[in-house]
Amino acid sequence: MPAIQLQFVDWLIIGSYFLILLMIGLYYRRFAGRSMEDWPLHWPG
Amino acid sequence: MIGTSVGYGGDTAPLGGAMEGQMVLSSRNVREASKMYIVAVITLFVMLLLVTLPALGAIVQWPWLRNPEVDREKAYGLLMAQYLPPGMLGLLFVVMLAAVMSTIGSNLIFGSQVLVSDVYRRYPNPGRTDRHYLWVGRGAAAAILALAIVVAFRVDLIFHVAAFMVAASAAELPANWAQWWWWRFNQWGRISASFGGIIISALVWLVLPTQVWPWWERTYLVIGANTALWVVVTLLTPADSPAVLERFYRKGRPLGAWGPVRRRCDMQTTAPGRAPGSGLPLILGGLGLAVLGAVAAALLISGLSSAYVGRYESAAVQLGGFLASGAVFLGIYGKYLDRLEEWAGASEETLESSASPTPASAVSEVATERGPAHAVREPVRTSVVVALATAAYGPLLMLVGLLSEGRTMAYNLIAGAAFLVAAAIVWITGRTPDQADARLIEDVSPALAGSQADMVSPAKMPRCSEV
Repeated sequence: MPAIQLQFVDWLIIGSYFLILLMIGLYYRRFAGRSMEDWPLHWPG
Repeated sequence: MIGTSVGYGGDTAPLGGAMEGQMVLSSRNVREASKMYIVAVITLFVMLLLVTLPALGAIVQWPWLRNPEVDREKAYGLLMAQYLPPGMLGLLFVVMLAAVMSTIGSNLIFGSQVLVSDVYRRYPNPGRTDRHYLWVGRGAAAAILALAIVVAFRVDLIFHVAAFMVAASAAELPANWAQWWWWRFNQWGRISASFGGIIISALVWLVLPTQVWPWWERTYLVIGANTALWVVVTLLTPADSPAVLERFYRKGRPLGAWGPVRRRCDMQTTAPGRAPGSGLPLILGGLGLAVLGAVAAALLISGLSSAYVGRYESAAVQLGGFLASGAVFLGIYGKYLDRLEEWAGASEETLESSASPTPASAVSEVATERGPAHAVREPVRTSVVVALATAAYGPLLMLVGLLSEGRTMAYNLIAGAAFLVAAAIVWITGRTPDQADARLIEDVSPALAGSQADMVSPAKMPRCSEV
């Protein structure tokens, strides 16, 4: 029965995923505490 | 599939509807919101093929997986180990992590938000600071996560959890529909339906033996018992105030049993073109249309599955049925929406705005009254973030491919290129709505400008008797 063997490149991709998530989180953290009220809707109707 | 086809009544349904309310509210207009259901059904069930078809292949590859004694949840892992080269294996792990984390994250947020905003803040503890509610929300999220972990460690098969969730979710379906189709439905009916469904499901699952009562029979029992509960609770508690009901009716023009409210509003309204009655033919027609769409989607899924396992004749018949029923559905669908709009007549809000048009400049005047908020810098478009995050995997996978050889190299190079193409598509398509916004704002009509001014600075909605 085959078993999953993760190699270095697999861990590299998995680690990159968490790094990208961290970068996205840090970017949006700059806007924490804001709400939709801070940006009036542009949409007419 | 019934819930997904007919709709969950705008509920944040945890299953097929997948946060339906959010998708409805983020749609461009009512017609686009209704099309969301078609896109949701097709994408949901076609995406599920990514799980179901390899599972069929796994059963062929390892026949012992048919044995109910073995852990059949290993099938996907076996396929990954057997067929995926280095790089692709890590990528699929990431995909699975992303799917699980996004689902858990969104459910934790909306679950804790419902508990805090709709229950805790409204009934036992109103008037506290936002910081207090924030910490209560975090505590609620932690409690929900802890319960989920307990469930995860106590179940033998994830299907049992899915069956329970189907019953708990379906128990609310009649109440979700009743909130649109029955004027008498009130907040106590809502609360009893939401909490009653979970409690009755838990009782039924704990008490009734699984050998005698299969999961679908228990689901029907839960739906029936919960419906009886919320109907009784609704009838024993007062109806919502006439002002609330009339405001909702004027904005939503719901079909169904709205007789007393409809009579009060329609007697005094000046809106032309309103059809009398409950619109029952439109309800029945809509349900028939939903069934037709569900049949088309089911034939598509079944046909593709048959083709996958080599039953080509059966697949041809089913896919032919999908094309025929799908064509009939699309032919009727637009006309049905036209009839709905004709039935509803002109919006009273639009008529009011047309009667006393608000200049487009008023929108900016109202907006600038909001003070320093305009100075807040907006985040970049979400599509830019998604495109950049997607593009990051392109060079990474291509690098893995270049460091490999043979099949591994080919797969990783192709996947890397696919990620770059997908990122470009997201970036380009993400720009289109902004350009459409700009055009619409340039051409904004006085009536639309008036309605936006209402959105920015909500005016008190007059009662029907004041129209």
